[in-house]
Amino acid sequence: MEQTAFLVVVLVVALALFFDFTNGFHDTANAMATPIATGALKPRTAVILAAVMNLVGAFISTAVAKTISVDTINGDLTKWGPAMIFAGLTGAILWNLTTWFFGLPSSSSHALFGGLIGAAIVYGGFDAVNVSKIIEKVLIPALFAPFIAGVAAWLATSLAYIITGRNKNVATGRGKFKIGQIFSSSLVALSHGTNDAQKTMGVITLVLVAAGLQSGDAGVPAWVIFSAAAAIALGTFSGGWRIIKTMGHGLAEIRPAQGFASEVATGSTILASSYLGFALSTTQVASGSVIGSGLGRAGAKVRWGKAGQIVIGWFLTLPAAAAVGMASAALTKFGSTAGLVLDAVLALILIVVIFQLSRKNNINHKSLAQSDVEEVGVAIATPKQVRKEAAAAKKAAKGKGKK
Amino acid sequence: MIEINWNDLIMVAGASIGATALVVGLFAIGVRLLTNAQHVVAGKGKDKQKSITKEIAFRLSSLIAFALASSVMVYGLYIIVTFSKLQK
Repeated sequence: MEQTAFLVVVLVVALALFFDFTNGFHDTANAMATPIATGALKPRTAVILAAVMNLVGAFISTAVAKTISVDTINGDLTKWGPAMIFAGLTGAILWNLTTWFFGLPSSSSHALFGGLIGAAIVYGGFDAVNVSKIIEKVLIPALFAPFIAGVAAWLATSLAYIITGRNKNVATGRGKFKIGQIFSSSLVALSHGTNDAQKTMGVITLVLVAAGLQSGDAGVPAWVIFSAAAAIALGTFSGGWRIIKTMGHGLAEIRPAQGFASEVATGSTILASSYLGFALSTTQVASGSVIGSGLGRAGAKVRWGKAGQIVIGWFLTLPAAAAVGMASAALTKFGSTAGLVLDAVLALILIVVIFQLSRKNNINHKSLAQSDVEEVGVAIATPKQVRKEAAAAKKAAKGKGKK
Repeated sequence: MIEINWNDLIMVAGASIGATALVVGLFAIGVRLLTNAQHVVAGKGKDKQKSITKEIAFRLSSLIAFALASSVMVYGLYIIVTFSKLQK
């Protein structure tokens, strides 16, 4: 294999891992927005837990389910070579970062499908797109996923409030749902790891097959499993604080019982759909659950304006990522290696610009901890944190005594 | 041609809604019983014994409810692992 072709493969693999990283931090909110919002977990603790669960999830499942988006694209993706996959990934990454910048929870999988579809159109014409499969695999699930999860969360929240309801002035004990939230959010993070890390493993394997470095029927190499698992865990650990803020506070007012119901609804819907082979987007399911739990508690507000923006984002994801994928593919197809380098440089510039713009209105774990968590209650602390806080309180009391 | 497997979709909806209601319902019962235990007022003499028994009964039944809710969640975990192995 010539040196340039090998470098192209290295570049595409690196981009695929970067996509995995963006997928991780984009989707941290799916599992951890509600426990952070209710104060069940401190922001940093929540993202560490999510990262660990995603890492474990990535190792549990390594099956490359129908090697990524093959259904939505007619023909063999490998025949167009690694440059086409590079273009598709560029589209997916740039759309993921754009929606992250605006704090919109959109589907990373749909962004990946969109990017690859756009690139495939440039390489193989419009015949390369399987429109009926797009409707079947993307549009119909996008309509039903939030609805199913929303109904489940609404019903469960109502049930939780009826069962734990008491007369006024008597403690309901609903704060205890915070403990349940730790387990339910972990389950969501774990199922996310099993689904989403697999997609990057599929893309990298596809690149290796396209470059002739691996036969089509060979499994996923161990280094691919390790690197994809590490990338999604690292991305999750970075925490997509903007989307966490939207999901935790932008959509509805969430209290512990609602948070627990919402996460259990998300976990159940994802598991049931995976088990029965009906692929649903984790992000859309999680958003639907949050809205459903908002409707389930009497007096809770659902911010329909924000929900509307999110839905528009969902329906824009596929065409927008496809448009970027097409532009990127035009460069890689007609500009050959120079075009690919130019494409990489342009993508890098855009990524840096988005990150720089995001720093102007920086949202991180500290701002979330100060503004949102403390309003709703004290987060469940680790024994070390409890000892530290007790020691600080003791010290402060001693200081007062001396005065 | 568009082929939508409506049966699978209905099953996904039914399983999701049923499992969510079951787990949250059991956990809520656990919370209710545990709070009941905390609300038991300690009596004197015979009443004291009664209130202790009542509190223990509430605590035990809440533990059972939490254990049942957890076992449904563990079953979900089991589905992830076995389903992944089946795919392999």
